[in-house]
Amino acid sequence: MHPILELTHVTKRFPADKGEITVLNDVSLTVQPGETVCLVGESGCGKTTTGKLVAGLHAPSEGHIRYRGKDIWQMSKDEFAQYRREVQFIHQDPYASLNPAHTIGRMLSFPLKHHGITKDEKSTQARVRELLKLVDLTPVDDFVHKFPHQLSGGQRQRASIARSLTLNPKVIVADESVSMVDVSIRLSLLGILSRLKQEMGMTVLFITHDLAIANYFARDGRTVVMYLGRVVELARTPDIMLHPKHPYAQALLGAVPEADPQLTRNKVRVPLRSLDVPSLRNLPSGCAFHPRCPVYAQGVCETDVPQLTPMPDSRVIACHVAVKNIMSE
Amino acid sequence: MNANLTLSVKNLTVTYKAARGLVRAVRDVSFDLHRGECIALIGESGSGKTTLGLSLVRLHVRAANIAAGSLIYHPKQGAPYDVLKLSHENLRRFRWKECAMVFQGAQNAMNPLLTIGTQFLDTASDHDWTNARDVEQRGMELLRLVQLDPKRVWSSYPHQLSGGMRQRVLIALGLLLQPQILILDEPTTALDILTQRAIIDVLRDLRKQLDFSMILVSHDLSLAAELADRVATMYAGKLVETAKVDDAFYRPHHPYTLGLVKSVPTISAKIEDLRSIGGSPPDLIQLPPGCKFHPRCAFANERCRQTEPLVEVVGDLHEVMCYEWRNVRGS
Repeated sequence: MHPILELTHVTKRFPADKGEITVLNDVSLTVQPGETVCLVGESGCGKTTTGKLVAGLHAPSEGHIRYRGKDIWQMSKDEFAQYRREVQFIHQDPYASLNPAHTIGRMLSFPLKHHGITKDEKSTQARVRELLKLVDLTPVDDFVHKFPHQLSGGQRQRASIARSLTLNPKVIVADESVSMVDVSIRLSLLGILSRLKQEMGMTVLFITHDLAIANYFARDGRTVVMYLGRVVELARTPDIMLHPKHPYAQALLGAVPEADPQLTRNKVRVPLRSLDVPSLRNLPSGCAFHPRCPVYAQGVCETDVPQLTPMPDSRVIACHVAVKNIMSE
Repeated sequence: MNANLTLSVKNLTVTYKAARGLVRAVRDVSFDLHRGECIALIGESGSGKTTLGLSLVRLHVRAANIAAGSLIYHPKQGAPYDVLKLSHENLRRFRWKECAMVFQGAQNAMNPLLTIGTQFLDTASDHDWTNARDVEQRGMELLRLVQLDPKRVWSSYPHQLSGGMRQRVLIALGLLLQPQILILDEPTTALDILTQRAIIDVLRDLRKQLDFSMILVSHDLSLAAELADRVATMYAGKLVETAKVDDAFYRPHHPYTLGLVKSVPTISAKIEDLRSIGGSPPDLIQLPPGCKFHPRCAFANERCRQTEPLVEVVGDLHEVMCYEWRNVRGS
């Protein structure tokens, strides 16, 4: 069976004032059907661009993105339309991503009718009600006729999730989908996503800067840590969270503030050599992390780009020093 | 009188006029801030925490009105006075010199046409500190304390600095006139993890080196866990619980504090123990009768639905507004 998603050596460049900037650099990733994969990293690491490429919203500058074995940019018109229906994107900001002039009912029924998912008005309305129930926007009658401004942030994000489900997708790309809602309702949104994933066998690509949320949502899946356009470590989520091996992943996990006073005040931190994130316009030579890296090895790190290397415990890392250390253990 | 007191908030009530009626954003809030102490105000959006923070320096929007209460400030020298009774001119002096505030998203609110140095000098001269060389020396020293390169930053324009650097500049600027109180509204929201870490470490070190009290307003419990001595939980305009940081996180007595603590995942804690708080915060114009949390509360009974509980002292520096705190504590 083909993997559901396959990125091979994907590079994405965007035009900038003078020349181009490389936002993604040689990213490869394979996702199996039903898997949860989480992309984490700081702003500018390329996680959102990866999501947009997967959803077909941008074309890669180099490399291939395959959906069920087929390069999406070589699909026929019909195949591409089918792929776009099956891969849906949930945006970060529920305030900006819903049309303020449409009621929730209209917003959900339009794609159903447009794509011929439901055959008549009666079945459309029935499906709309089902979708609202799926995301816990109940009692349904209270919500069908409401406009987005009449809903709270959490309710809007639920409506946004319901909308992404209208076309029965196989893959959901969720970009910071719970970052803008209050802490008290984040868990219930994640709960809805997990339940839908299980009930419908969906694959989820979950993008977040919040490591604790990643750990919670992708605990049975894998996590990808990105830095300045490259994948630096990829492993089963608990392996990354509890035993990160790449110095950048170690620095991130040591730095993350946690909602537990004793734990967070007594954590072992990895001091970085510099606080400044280099600009994408002017990336450091060799390993892009070398000017900040606490284990930087002179003579290698600033000259050679480290390649993603598989480790015995099924993780892959891109670091000259960490790979050497693990291999000599 | 307690010599350690720096600010004593008593029965503060703030209301807004809205088209639908009166918004009761802060209701009868009392708490004491001690010298050198850090209090974190936590709660969901719409709980009134930002309004409370702003009203401590009387910077709430014009539609708002401080309906009742007093804000007794204890200066380093001289007699205590009520901030709410200050004249316009004296209030201007009080702000920044005695109590400074770093606003939410303030990294985007600096004057883009002035260098950082000019913004320091402007601030100082507005408070009658006109010796430019002294100001520059002090400003540079503060920039160094917040881990910035003082020479480079002093002559930079805001757009030449990253969001995290601007946030640190604002913290330094807030401390320029050596205030006794620094209020920070969501100081790490929208910043990356390593930048958040830098801000947290800077605030912790500054507090060790310079002697000031801090009020953190944040929905982010991890910030409270990192920095606060005490945590004050706000719900529907009231402080429903104030407790020492360990008590708030490990032994909360109010069901809302318990709910907040249980709803935030950490990396090492057990995932099974997590749960979200059902329902949503009440409409501040039409508050429910009784305890305002009762529609979302698993411990609520008939009494909670009818009358709002009063504040009860349940331990050392631990106050809670809940009839059922004995049951909450044990759960």
